[in-house]
Order: sequence, then structure tokens, then C-alpha cells
Amino acid sequence: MRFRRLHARVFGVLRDLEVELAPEAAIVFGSNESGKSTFREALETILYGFDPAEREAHPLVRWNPGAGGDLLIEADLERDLGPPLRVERALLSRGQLRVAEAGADFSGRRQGNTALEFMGELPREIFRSVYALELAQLAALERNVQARVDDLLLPQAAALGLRPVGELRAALREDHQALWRPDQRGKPEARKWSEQLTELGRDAGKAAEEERGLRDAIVEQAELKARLVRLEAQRVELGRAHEEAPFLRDLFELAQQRRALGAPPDLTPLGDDPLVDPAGLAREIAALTDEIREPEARLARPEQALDPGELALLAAASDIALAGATAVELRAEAKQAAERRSNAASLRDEARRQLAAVLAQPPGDAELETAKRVPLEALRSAQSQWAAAAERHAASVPAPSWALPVVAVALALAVIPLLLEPWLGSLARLLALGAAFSGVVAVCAAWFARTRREPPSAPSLLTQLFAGLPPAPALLARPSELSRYVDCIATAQTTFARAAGEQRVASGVEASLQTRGEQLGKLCARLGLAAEGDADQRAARLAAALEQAVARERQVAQDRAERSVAKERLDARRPRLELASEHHDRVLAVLRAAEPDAPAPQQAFARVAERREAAEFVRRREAELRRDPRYAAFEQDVRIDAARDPIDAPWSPEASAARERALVACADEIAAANTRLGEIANLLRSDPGGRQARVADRMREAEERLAALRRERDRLALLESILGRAERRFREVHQPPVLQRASSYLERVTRGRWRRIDYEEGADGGLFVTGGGRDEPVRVEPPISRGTLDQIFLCLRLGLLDHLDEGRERPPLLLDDALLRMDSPRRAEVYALLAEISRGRQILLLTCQEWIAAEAEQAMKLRRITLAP
Amino acid sequence: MSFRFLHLADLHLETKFGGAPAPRERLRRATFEAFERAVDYAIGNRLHALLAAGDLFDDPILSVHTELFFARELRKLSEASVWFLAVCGNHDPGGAGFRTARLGIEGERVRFFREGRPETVTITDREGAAVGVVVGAGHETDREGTNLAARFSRVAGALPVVGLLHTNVESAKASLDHKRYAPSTPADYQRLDYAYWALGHIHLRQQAVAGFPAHYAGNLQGRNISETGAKGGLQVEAFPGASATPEFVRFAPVRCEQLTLAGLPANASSDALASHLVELVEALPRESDEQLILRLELAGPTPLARTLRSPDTLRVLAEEIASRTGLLDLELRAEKTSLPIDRARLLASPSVLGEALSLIDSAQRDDSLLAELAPVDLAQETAAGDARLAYLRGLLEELPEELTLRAVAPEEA
Repeated sequence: MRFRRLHARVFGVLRDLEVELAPEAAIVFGSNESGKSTFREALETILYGFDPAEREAHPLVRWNPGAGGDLLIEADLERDLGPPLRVERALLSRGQLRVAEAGADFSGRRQGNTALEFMGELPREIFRSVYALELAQLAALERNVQARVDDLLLPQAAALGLRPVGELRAALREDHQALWRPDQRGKPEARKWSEQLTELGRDAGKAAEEERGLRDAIVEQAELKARLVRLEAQRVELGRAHEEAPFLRDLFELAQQRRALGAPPDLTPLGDDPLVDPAGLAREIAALTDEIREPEARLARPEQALDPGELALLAAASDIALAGATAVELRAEAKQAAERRSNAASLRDEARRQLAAVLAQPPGDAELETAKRVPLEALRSAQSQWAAAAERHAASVPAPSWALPVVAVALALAVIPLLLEPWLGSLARLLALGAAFSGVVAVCAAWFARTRREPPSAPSLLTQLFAGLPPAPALLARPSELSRYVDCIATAQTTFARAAGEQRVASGVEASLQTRGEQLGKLCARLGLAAEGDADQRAARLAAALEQAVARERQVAQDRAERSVAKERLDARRPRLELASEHHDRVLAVLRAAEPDAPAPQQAFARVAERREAAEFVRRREAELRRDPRYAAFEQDVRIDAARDPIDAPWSPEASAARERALVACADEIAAANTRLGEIANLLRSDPGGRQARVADRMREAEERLAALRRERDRLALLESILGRAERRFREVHQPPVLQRASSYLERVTRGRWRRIDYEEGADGGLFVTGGGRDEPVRVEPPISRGTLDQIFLCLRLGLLDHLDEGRERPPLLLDDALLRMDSPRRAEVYALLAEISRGRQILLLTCQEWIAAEAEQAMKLRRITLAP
Repeated sequence: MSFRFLHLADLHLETKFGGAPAPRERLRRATFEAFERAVDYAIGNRLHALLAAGDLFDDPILSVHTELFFARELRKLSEASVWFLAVCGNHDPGGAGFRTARLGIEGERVRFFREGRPETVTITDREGAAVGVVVGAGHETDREGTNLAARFSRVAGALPVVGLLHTNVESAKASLDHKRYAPSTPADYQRLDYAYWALGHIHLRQQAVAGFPAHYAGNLQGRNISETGAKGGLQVEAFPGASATPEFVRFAPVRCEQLTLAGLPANASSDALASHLVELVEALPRESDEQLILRLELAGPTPLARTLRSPDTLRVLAEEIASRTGLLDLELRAEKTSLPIDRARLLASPSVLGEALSLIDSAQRDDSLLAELAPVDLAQETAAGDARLAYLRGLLEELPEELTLRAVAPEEA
């Protein structure tokens, strides 16, 4: 396949560039940035489409966005295995393709950004790597000779989109060596886990040690529990001894005190009496003696008694008291009677004065008596009748006839001036006032005239009723005056009635007084007293006599009481005195017996009392101790009866201190044992397997990891091995023709200096070249010169192209400054070789070197295409 | 009068647990809890005896804590007049020098069969009346190779007879997965007229001899993800002259399960995958008092295959699902996931990858090729010969997916 024409309408720096290309070869010359690489990319784009296919992502669009527009190129192609055709590639929003027959116009819809149909079997990567390899890519190959060149020699792998086998094997090797290495170099994963296993083995040893510790702890636990029982028993025993020690000491002290007391004094002579202080008894005897002296003297005096007169008086005491009371009453009544008589007289005098005011003449006693008899009710009735008659008379008298006209004229005279006031001025008022006054005078005169008429005279009945007590004449002028007389008569009659009552009361009192006086006289006579004098005197006499009798009676009673008291005292004290004396004597006897050496009873009593007090204390203490349940157990304890403190006495301070120390030590031991038991319990608490199990688990985990890791390593190593074998097989089939062709090209280019290219398998394998004056093949790498290396790779590419293109389209070979580092003779050989190859495959040489372009132009008879900068 | 007892086996107290710290700690406690539950059950249901068919302890070196725990539980049984009879297994052999022999926790109703010679114990009820006979024989060493079952003989009398043994019955399922200690055959049991055989050793609950009352109770608590399903004991009521039929009683507080999920969602979203897995986990039957440990193996093509190869991603995903579903622990595995690419095209293509896939395929069938391909130095120490080949074959299983994942460039996937 050959490019015969290329028209870059818009393609990066290439604008409206249209070039005709020779079918064999051409040289494209251009300085830097003239578009050489763009030219190469344009050819690739014609064959494979835009890469990338999106306009916005395409580097030529992004590189020069200001240029705008779409990319558009077209080319005429001449095919090895088909008719010529025209190809148009446009990058609108996405890459598009149109294909037309040679000489025809493009028509119809554009297709997608696909490769040309006949290029489908040759992937773009292969084209780039082998057919259009740039110098820079070749340089990159040098750094990774084996992998990349090997892959170049295995083109089908790239065709399937597979990773390079060399890279794949290297990655596999790296992966499995990272897991495990037979040479134990580096730090593979397995080594870490092995080390961890070793570490865990140590941990397991420690855990086993702990386990042994646990078993020891169980034994220790049993021992500690037994020891705790012993210690508890010891502590109880010590505690009991410590608790009993004070009791034992008390018992011991009691026994000591009991011994010190000796025999008790014999109190039998005292019988039921107590042993008391004889001095006290003596004092009591003296006191009792003093106490009986006075009652004896009192009883020695004669006893008093009342005589018969006194007895009679006392018997009549109630009568005398009554008589005294009666006399007092009589005196009051007499006084009252006198007062009443005086009142009666005053009332008569009052009545007399009243009557005198209404009678015609002053009344005497006779008139007074008459007045009592005046018929008052009749008189009142007559007077009422008279008054009624008088009222009737007054009502029948009319007013004078002149009165009304006079009053009317007076009013008119009063009004008229007032009406004429505007004309009369103040005179009108005076005239009116005068007329009004005249009216008033007229009215008064009429009223006076009416009242000055005489009433009717008193009726005759009244005169009869006066009964000799005629009233003053003035009282008879009008009925109203006569009423004063009637009222006075009524008052006088009332007064007379009251005076009569008073008189009667006074008389009754006086009669009663007389009777009482006579009774008192009789009583005096009966009691042998003088009866002369009035009732008061008699009563006073009787009272005085009775008072004396009562006083006398009181004296007799007091005498009797005193004697009784004295007798009682004597009766009470005499036996006590006797008993005390007897008790005293016995006490003295007892004291003498108990303390014969005592200088006096007092000292003897003190000594005996002291002994008794001590004995009592001992008795109480013993009773107290007996109440303790331990008494019975220790009563017979020999230590208690020891005469003095035994050396090993449990109550001794030394023994007590020793016990306390032992108790503290015992408690400490128990606490320590319990603490340790707690620790052991914690150690033994439910923890299935414990640390040993956990370590074992971790070891199991590590072992599993290690096993998995080793298996993975073996798997990857096996895979690498299989891949190696596959690669060798593949090479055996596909590689020899490539290397043979490449070797023949190299021998020709180097004029026999380098003869053969080989590829060897294995870790130390790779590309080798034979020649250069050496017997052994040498690895394709420096110090072989760079020019020679370029020639080796060029020859490899040429050999590879021949192998790849067998039986299919032969895409053009693009060489970008591939001859730059070759020397002149070898360049000449290369030109010759390329000219020969160009008969079967179009070759496009790209260079920026003028001399290369000129040299190739001449050597290969090429037409130069110059790209404008 | 019937003989009622609980048949337990393979308690493996004090097992070493691997895995993450939290689940393994829970599993450790679970083994103890399960035994406590069994003891309480026996007491609560007034059973006559609790029979343990070996491997009470996982390690002959018994820890103090486990010993104390065990003694406490046996004390509870004794106080309730429930017999405890246990035979020694390969993990807790009864011979001199082993820890079990020194256990000082035997009592009036507690009995350990430590010797290989069968012994007979008459079981009495609380009132002292005989209700059954237990014949048991224990492993004296941790590698008992004798057929102990063959030593059992008929027991005369009218009481139901129960054999108690830790053995590998060759006819039992999974017998090949267990060491062939005290191996026995169905004939060893069929010759005797015991009412029941309480067996231990194989951790899978099953009838050991078809049509015959010889049963494995399975282990009391699944100890790892391989020991799946509900675990507990068998309650048995044995009558004289009749074969007893056991009834399973669950005691294990933690259940382990494994699931393989092949049909992964085509959606390349981790959230969609998580939701899908949550639905799957929530659909699993689970008891209210039971915690679940689950291994979920993802397999088949998924766009997330590359992501799921990251241990961190798997861990985060597993934690998310576990927290949403209340799982005690979830182990997610994705070794068998692959990219949704055309494997046939890869195989057919003239590429090294195709060549390698073809080689793996051949090596799976050709042991000599596999041996040739294997690295000279293996990290895993394996015996030569079949064991090595088996190991290498295991490695081959996931290699196609691994190779594809590694070889295909990310953008191509």
C-alpha cells in the first residue's frame, strides 16, 4: 500500500498542504516545528482515524485552539491487494471517515472513526511501534531492551490487547518473589510471617510457662486454703485467749481479794439487827431520851374540865346566837318604824300644802280628813263634762263680719302701689307696706274679738262634789283651772294613803319589838343571868357569857389534845429507846469480839465496816462474774488460785502484748493469703484456653497465612514458568524467520562486520549479536556503539516487517532520522538497502537535517518534500 | 424402662483457630458454649447419661482453664445424677503420658474409657435402678491403629446395650478425609446386637453403617469453614432388644456454611454486586440463636473480576455484606471469577497467552508436563510424588483466570 497523495486541508500546522508522493520512497524534510511529526501523524490518521476521536480532546485542536475549525485531511492510496481509493478524514465533533474510489468524489454519509478495513489485522500500536517508530521511541527501547524488543517480536500479543509478555513475566516474577524466594534474599512476605511464627513460638513458650504457673497456682491455691483454715483457727484461738484474759484476771483478782478478807466478824449476837456505828446509836439514844422528856412533863400537869354553867351556856349557844340576831333585827325594825312614822307626817304636811294652794282657805285637820273622802272619780267626770261644754261654746262663736272686707281692702291697697311703682317710686313701697300692716291688724282684731267671748259657768254638780272643800274661786272660772284642783285632790288622797301605810307598818314593828324583848329576858333568867335592860342589853349579856364559855371550852380541848400527843410520843419513843439501847449493847459486844484490839468502839466499828465493805464488794463482784457463762469453765482453773501472778498468766501485759502481736501477724498472714487467693482466682477465672490458646490461634493464623502465601507464590511461580514455556514455544514458531531476515540485513548494512542476531531465553537471555571481531555473541547493549545499535534495531524492524506483512497489505515504513548516528559507509549501505526494499514497500524518510535529506535525495533518487517552517 | 442419653462426639475443646481474631475468638467460645448447652440439655431433660465418643479435647496438653471448665460441667452433671461417659480419641488419648490420663475429675457417675480393651458400665437412674449398659473402649495413643470395634462382644442381660467408640468406619461418608485411626468395618457392628453405637471421629453427622444403629454424631461445633451445617448431638432412647433411632439436637451457637455463586450480575457495579450478595445471604435459613460464618465463593465471568482480585476490595465488600446481614464473619473468595472475554478467541489466537492457556490445559491432563512446568523450588513443603502432583494440580485450577486477568490490559477488558 502506498500513499500517492496527501492533502492536509486543516491538520495542525499543516494547512492546505497537498503533496504528491512517489510510490517507492520520498524524503520529507523540515526544520524543527515545521510539521514533520504532524505529517507522520497525518499518514497514521488516514489509516487508523483520529486519536483520540473527540475533537475537544485531540492534541492538534487543543494545541492551537485559536485556529479553530475542524481537522480535515484526505489522501489517495494505492493498495497491494485491492483497487486504489480515496480517503477523507474529518474531525468534526468526532472523527469521521469517507472513502471513495480513485478519481471519484466523496459522497454519502461519513462513517465513524474506524481504521481502514484492510488495516484491521495490523493494530495501530504495531504500526506505531514498528512501521512508524520515532527516534525517541527507539531510544526508549534501549532502556528496556529485552522486554520491549521481545514484545516487538511478538506482535500478535499487542494485536489482542494483551500486556507485553516480558512485562507480564517480570510482574509475575516480582509478585512471587515478593512472597517467597528460595534464595532467602530480600524481605519476602513469607519471611516476615516465618519470623512472626518464630516470635509466636517464643510467645507460646511464655504462655506454656504461664500455664505451668497456673497449675502451680492451683496447687498454691489448695495450700493457701488449707493454710487459711489453720490461720483462722489460730486467730480464733488467739482471739478467744485474748478475750478470756481479762475475765481470768478478774477471777484471779477476786480470789486474791477473797483471801485478803479473812474470816468475817460474827454478827450472830446482833440477830436481825444491823451492825451500825455505835456512836450513831448513842446519838439516837440521847435524842430519844430528849424527846420523851417533854411529853412526860406535859402528862404530869392536871387535866382541865368545863363546869355545868359553861356547859348550859354552850348548850344554849344556838338560842343565844338567835337572840343576838333577833336583837339586831329588832333594832333595825324600830328604826324603820320611826322613819315610817316620820314619813307619814311629812306626807300629811305635803298634802296640806298642796290643798292649801287649791282650797279657798287653809285646810285644818278636819279638811284633811274631808279631802280623803272627796269622790275623785265623780269630780273628774264633772270636770270633763264642763270642759266639753266649754269647747262646744267656743266652736259656736263666728268671726266678726267686717273682718273679710277690711282684709281685702288692705290687700288691694298693698298691691296697687306695687303696680304703680314705676311711677310712684319708693312711695309705692311705703304705701304697700302700710296697707299690708293694716290688713294684719284687721285680722288680729277679728281673732281677738272672737276669743273674748265668755264661756259657760261651772255646773252645780261640782259644788256638791266639793263636799266642804271648795276650791279657790279662780279655779272655778274655767274647766282647765278646775283640773288643777282635781289633780291636787288626787295627789293629796294618794299621799294620805301612803302616810296611813307607813303608820301601820311602824305600829307592827313596835309590837314585835316588845315580844322579842320579853323572850330574851326569859332566856337570861334561865341561864342565871341578869334580865334587866332592853333586848339589846340582854342579848349582849347572853353573847358575852356564851363567848366566855366557848373560850373555856377551847382551853379544855387544847389541854386534852396536848396530853394525847404527849402520850403518843411517849408510847412511840420509849420502845425505840429500849431497842436502841439494847442494839447498842449488842453492837458493842460484837465489836469487842471482832476487834478486841481496837482502842475504842468507834475504831472497832470502822475496822469492821471496812472489812464488811470489802466483803460486800467481793460478793457483788463474784455475783457479777458468776453471771458470765465462762465462770463455770474457769472456776476451778488453777491459775486463778495462784497466790500471786503466775509467770505465764494469760492476763499479764506481756502475754497480752504477745497475743496482740500474734493476732496482728495472723491477720496479716490471712490478708496476704486472701490477696494471693484473689490473684489466683483472677488467673483462673473463666478464660477458655487462656493466653496459650490465643497464641496458638495466632500461630494457626500465621501458619495459615504462610501456607496461603506459599501456595500463592507457587501458583504465580508455576504461572510464570508456564508463561515462559509458552513464550519459548511461540518464539520457536514465530521468531526464527524474523531473526534470519534481520541478520541478513545487518550483515549487509555492516558489510559483514556483524553477522547474526539471536534471542536467548532465560533470566540471562535477551538479544545477542555476533560479529564485531568477537567469537562469542555479545548482548545488544552498550558498549556497542550507538550507531551500530541503531543499525541492529533497524534491521530487526525490517525483518519484523517482512514477517508481519506476509500475505497482506504492506503499510509504508516511516523512518524518522533513523540514520542520523550512522557513519557514512553504513548510511550508504542503508540507502541501498532501503532503495531495494522500497520496490515492495513505500518508504518515507523524515529528517530535519539538510545533509541527510540531500544525501538520501541523491543516493536513493528521491523527491524531496519540504515542509515550510 | 428405657435408657435415655445424649450422644456427643468430637468436642475438640481448645482447638487452635485460625482466621481473623474476632470470629476465631467467637468460635473458641462457641465450642465451650455448645458443651454447656449439651450439659444443660441433658440435665433439663432428665437424661440418664451423656456419652462423648472421643476427642473431647483437641490437644492432649490440656489448658488449666479448659480443665476447670470441664470439671465444672461434669460437676453439674453429677449433681443432677446424670452419668458422663467418654472414650478417649486420637486427640485426647488415654495412655500414660497423655494429659487425659491425669485428669482427676472422675467421680461416681463420671467415667473415662482410656484403654483399648472394652469395659462395661451399668447405668443407673437417679433412684439407682439400672437402665442400660455402656460398653466403651478408648484410644491409648494418638495413632491408634487397632480395630477396637472388633474387640467388643455381646453383653448378656435384659438392659439395652450401647457401644461407645472413636473409630473410622470405612463405609462412612468422608471417612477418607479423616485419619484411619481405630479403623472398623460394618461387619464389626453387624455381628453384635447392641441397641445403639455412639461413634465419633468423623465430623459429619451420619449413620455410619447403613441399616444399622451405628451413628456418628458429628462434631459439636463446626470449627472452621469446612465443617458446615448445624452441629450438635443425638438424643437417643434405647429399649432392650430394639435398635434405637437418634434424634438430632442442635447445640452449636455458630454455624459455618460455604456457598458458590456463579451467576454474578453483568453490571460492573460493586454496589450491585453487594446488593446481590446481601439478598443471597438473607435468603439463607438461620435460627434465631445461631450465628453464621459464611464462605462465599464467587465464580464465573464478571466485569469486576480484576477489582475482586484485590484483597482490600474483597475485605471491604465482605465487611459491608456482613454488617448488612448480621453475619458473624464472611469470607469472600473470587479466585474463580474471570473477565467476560472470549476465552476461545484467546486460545485460538497466535499469541503467547493462547499458547500458555493451551499449556495449562495440557498440564491438567498430563502429570509429566505438569511436573516439568513446576518450579524447581516450591515454597510449600510437599512430599514428592503424588502429593506434589496433587498440590500442583490444585495450583493449576485457578491459573487460566489469573493469567487472563494479568495478560489482558485493563482497557481491553
